[in-house]
Amino acid sequence: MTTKKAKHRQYGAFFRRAKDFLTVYKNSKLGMAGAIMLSLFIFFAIAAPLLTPYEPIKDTYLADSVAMPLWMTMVPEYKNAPRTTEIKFNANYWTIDESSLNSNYFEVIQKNDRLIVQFSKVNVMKENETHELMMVVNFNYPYDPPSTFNIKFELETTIIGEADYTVELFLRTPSGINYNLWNIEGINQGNASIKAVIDSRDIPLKMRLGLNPLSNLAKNTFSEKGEYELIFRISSGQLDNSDECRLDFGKINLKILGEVHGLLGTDHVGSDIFSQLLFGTRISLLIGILAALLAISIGLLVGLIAGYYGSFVDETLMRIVDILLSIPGLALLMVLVTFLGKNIWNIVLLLGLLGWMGFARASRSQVLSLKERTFVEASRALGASNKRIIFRQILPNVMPLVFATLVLSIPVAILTESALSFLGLGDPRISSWGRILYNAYSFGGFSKLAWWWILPPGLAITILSLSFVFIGHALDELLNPRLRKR
Amino acid sequence: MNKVINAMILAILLCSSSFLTTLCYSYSQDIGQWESNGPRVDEIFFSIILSPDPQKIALKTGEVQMMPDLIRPIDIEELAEDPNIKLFMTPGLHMFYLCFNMRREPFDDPDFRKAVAYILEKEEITRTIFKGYVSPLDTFVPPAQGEWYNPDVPTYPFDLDKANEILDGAEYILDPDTGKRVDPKTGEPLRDLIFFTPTYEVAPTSAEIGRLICERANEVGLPFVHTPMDFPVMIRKTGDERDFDMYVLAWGLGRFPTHLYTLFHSKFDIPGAQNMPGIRDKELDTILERLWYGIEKDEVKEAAHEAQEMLSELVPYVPIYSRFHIYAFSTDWNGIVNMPGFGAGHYNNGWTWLNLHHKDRPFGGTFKRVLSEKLDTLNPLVSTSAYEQDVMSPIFSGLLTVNPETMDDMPWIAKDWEIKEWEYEEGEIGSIVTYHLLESITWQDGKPFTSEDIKFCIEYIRDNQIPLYVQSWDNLVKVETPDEYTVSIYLNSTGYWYLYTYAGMTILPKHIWEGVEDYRNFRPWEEPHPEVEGLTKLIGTGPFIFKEYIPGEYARVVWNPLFFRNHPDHPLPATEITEAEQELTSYLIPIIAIPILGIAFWLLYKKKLSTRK
Amino acid sequence: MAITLFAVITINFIVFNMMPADPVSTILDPNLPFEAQQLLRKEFGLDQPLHIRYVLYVKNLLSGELGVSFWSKKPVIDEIMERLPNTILLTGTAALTSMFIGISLGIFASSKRGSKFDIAAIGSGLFAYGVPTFFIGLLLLLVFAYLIPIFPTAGTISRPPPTEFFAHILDVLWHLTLPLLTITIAAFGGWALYTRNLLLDVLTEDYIVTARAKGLSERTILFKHGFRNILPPLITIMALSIPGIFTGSLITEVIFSWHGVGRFLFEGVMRVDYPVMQGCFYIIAILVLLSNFFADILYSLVDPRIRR
Repeated sequence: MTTKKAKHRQYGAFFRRAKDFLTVYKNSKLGMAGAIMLSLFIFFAIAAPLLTPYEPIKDTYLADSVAMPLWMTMVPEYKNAPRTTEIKFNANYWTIDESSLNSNYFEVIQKNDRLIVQFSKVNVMKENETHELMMVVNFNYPYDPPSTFNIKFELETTIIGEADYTVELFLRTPSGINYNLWNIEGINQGNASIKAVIDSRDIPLKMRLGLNPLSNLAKNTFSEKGEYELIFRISSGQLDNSDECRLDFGKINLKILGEVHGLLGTDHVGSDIFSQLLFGTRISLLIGILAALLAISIGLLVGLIAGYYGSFVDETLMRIVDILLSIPGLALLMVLVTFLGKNIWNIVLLLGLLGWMGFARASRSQVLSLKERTFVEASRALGASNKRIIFRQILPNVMPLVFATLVLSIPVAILTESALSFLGLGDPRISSWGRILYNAYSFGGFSKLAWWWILPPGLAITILSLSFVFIGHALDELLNPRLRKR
Repeated sequence: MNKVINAMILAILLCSSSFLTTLCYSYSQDIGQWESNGPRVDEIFFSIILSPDPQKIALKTGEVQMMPDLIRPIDIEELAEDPNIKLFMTPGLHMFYLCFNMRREPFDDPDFRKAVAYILEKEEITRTIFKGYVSPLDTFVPPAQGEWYNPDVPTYPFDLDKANEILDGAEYILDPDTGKRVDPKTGEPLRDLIFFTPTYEVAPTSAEIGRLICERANEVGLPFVHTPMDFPVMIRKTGDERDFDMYVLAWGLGRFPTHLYTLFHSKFDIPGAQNMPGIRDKELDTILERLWYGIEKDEVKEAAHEAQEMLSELVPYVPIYSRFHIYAFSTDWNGIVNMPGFGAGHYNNGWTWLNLHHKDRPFGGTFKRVLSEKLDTLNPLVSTSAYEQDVMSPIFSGLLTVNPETMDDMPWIAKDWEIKEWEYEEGEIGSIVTYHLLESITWQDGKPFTSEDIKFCIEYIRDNQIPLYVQSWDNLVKVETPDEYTVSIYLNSTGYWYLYTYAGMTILPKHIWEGVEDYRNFRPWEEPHPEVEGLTKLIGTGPFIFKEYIPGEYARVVWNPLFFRNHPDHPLPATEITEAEQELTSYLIPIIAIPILGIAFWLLYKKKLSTRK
Repeated sequence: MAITLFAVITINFIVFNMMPADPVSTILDPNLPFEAQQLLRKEFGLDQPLHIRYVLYVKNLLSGELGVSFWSKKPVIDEIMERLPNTILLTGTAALTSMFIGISLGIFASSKRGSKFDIAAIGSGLFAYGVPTFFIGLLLLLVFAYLIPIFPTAGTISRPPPTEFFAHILDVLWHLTLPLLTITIAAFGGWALYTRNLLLDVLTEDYIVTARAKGLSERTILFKHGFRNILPPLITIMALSIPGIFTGSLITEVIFSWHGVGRFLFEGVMRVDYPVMQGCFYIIAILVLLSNFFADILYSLVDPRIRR
């Protein structure tokens, strides 16, 4: 009967059945809720790179560690929370401060983004004079005191002869306090290329400024809101006739790490939590669906064989199922992961291999009841092979159960994977939701009460699982005759 | 050439700044008041809390009064801002380093090693991984060792250009196609160079440092491969099998630079000993032998400084950083002595435990502190864990101690001492170390402490060949006790350090340990003392008596009224009162709770009954 | 049950002795003194062929010889015995409370289909499916131990523990509360849902209608006929859920630093301490087996068809 028309009729019937099914399904409130939530998650998973500019793991120190979400600034207490500020001081911004002594001894060239200061004996008016040049640039800092800042610049010195000079970098606060953040003395001839880094976390710097090494330098220096100045002070000592000195400043950057960032703040290394959440969706969906598929497939196969062939085969298979069911799954999983290595594919494989037993039982009992039905008897009488009976008669009738159970197995896989990641046994290179919670637990998220770090991943796991559960529950009610009201 | 000079100027500046900072530390963490009489508290309670978050909470809520060894920057910052907590910080006797296997190519090439030294950005590691709370280290002796530390050594500040230059100069040409450098001897690209670190779970900072180094190395064309591995396997491969390329690890060091000998002398390049890089330099060996066997302090000090300079040239290790010891104490307690090199709450710093007292209560009371790991043994001959030392060191006293302000030797059980030379064989010179003991000392069970105990202890260790204490019996000839308060130890070797080998030894009571055949399985802390009630067989001469250890939960030591340096004003503890207090409140709780629970159950049951109708 | 036991041991053997490249490395700690190594070699037959090793392994496991921990150098069996009471306390009470609350809720829900109870039961059932156990634990920890510090953040008892008997018990209960709450919240929903569904099945049967027609009170119907009849499948499910309860308690033990066997397994995994991993896994499997055994006995007591 496999003519084209018959096949069309078959497909037609199938589509009609599917359409009917969907109409009924729409009535189920839970089912619809689940479907909507799931589609939302799928959207997030696919569109993740478009929804966030940051890499979930690679981009670190976008703000200070465990920074609050940006929208917390709506709360009056955090209105002026420091935002991540990065300022590049171009050569053109620098001006010569009038209070420099005999600054015309120095020649200042501002070209091509580089600030160059040259001096030699040529411009000296008098011997034993103090010569000093102060280059100033100012910037505005309107926020509360930050916890970390750094200043980076390059300096190339070219000296002919012997030049005696000092370069110092000061930070001046709006109220006029000067912090000598960096200095260098050049004595002998030669050239040097210096990449200077001034970081508020450096203990030697704190001590040099007379602060307690355990104090926070950034909070001290940036304690006021207003106009700050960065001052380079170059002073020159005695030079002989043939001496020349050239100081070539490259990019001068100031970076202040903020304490608010993004939609969900940052974790302990300053990575964006929202990105981690988005990319984690992919992992959860992938692992959940693949592992559930694997488990259900194996379970179905075992159930079909055991149910249909019965007697010895059935006994043995069910015995195996019983034994495996009484092994604590997570414990075995933990052990196997240490042996086999922590990567996604191992986890999917193991989840599948340890999760098929339940469905094997269920599908087996379904097969058992189907086996005795008349249409199967009829097929057998007609001489159909076992394989044909299994695949043509029994399997289609088991499929509803398969779908319902499949959907309900996915959350189990997702939950188990996140539990593994939470324990630290997940793949460390990927940002699964469980791993976010692992970081929060191990790196101080709890003692900082960083709810923006702890709640979102957990809620995400919950809502994703629930969406599958709702769908599964709706499917179950529709497809499983047992629960229908009488 | 000019660049080299300028680099050296910079290096000198950097070194002097780190030297200056060591001076600065002693001013900013002043030692405070301390006496050598004590202890003042009646009891120390070690609460075993395994992870840092609960430790921090216990400290903040007052459940404990001290949290040791703060490592996570988040903990340091949080507790630094807490007005009820005071942090004590001091540079530690610690060295975290990168080790090369100099037995293999290309690590046998000194230029290669120097180039690698230039790709390490210690400052960046300090900032990003530790938030600044460790000290970048350029020398083979940490600054905390004070006078033994030599700041004038060649250093290798982070400079990728320099690294590239050296590699190019040594003919490790960069192949633009593969991005890898070529081995000059074979002409082939360098093989993958495996970089061992502990795993992220066990030591996240070490693993991360390894990863950063490998990343930088890859940028200059060196194919380093970051390989985290199980700690025991790593120890086996590096210590026993010598099957490695590079790894990172740390050493906890002592007051003296004797580790330079045990780590870098060629005779320790055997499996099981500690010359992991396999360095065999004759000139270095000579200097190290002067360090080890030298008799006068000036002699050994000069050798130590020379050795550091040579090692910085040879680069068998690249030192990376040195930890700070940071301890957090409740501000309600005084008498904390922030000893340089060890820190305020370290087991080698007995001064804190001697002087500690509540600010309102000069004597008495209980001090509760955190213990970060459970204890496996409290047998001094077997114990290897620092946490076990935390509990055991208040129980014992040493022959000498150290003045926390001047870091000079101070008499303790030994009132004075001397080293002499003797000829133990034809033409061979050895040393005799003699200690004169105080006569007032008793064991915690009342028996007098005599030189017989020391003789027994040394001979017991030698007879059982206890590996932990090999230095004390390796060159031992005999021990003599001319009288009850003098002991002379005869050695067939010379050395300035032997004084300290025995000075820090845990002295065991002869009358307890005499009959112990199997020291490995002896559990003195679990066996009651044969004569004195309330004591176990774990007794010493120290300020505290061991009382009990509940596995996994806590340990407890109490004040030793027989301690030879007892404070004359210390009254006997009043334990009766505290127990009664406890009893009263504990009776109240069940009296209130049980009726409430009963009422709750009854209500529930009633509800059930009503719904059944 | 004996078969299952052997199966568990065999699985243990396969996982720990046949899977790693060097099975010796899972039993011998290279840092042990030579005599200790020799002893272990003999006991576990490490130089022998596979089948002899298996026999020795079975013998050892049955007699409780579980090797020596790499980390602490103490016999694993001692360490586990230290922690077993705590695990049994947590798991046992958690199982009991979640079953009690869940089943009660399920019973009431089924008798009042469509009511608030019913919705609550379904809701909590679905909830239990969706929320990860460890998240519940983390939330409870965050709110009731960090934010509002009324419960301890870690441990089984305080340090020092109160010496007086009642106070000691209360101290343990105080430490037990949050872990217990975690597992209960995570598990009771499943029970409620399952009980409800089972009862709904039963309550639509003809004999129930008959009983109602006979004029029996709802209470009698519910308990004597309904509940009694679902006891068998309920107990079956009880047995099936036991591994799940141990899994839940494993995670909870880690979160609350509970000094139990589950946490010990976790520590063993972290430190790659093979003897500990083997031992814990074995003991947990034994516990599951024992619980199943009790469930079987319960089943036979309850199923009228099997009695006598």
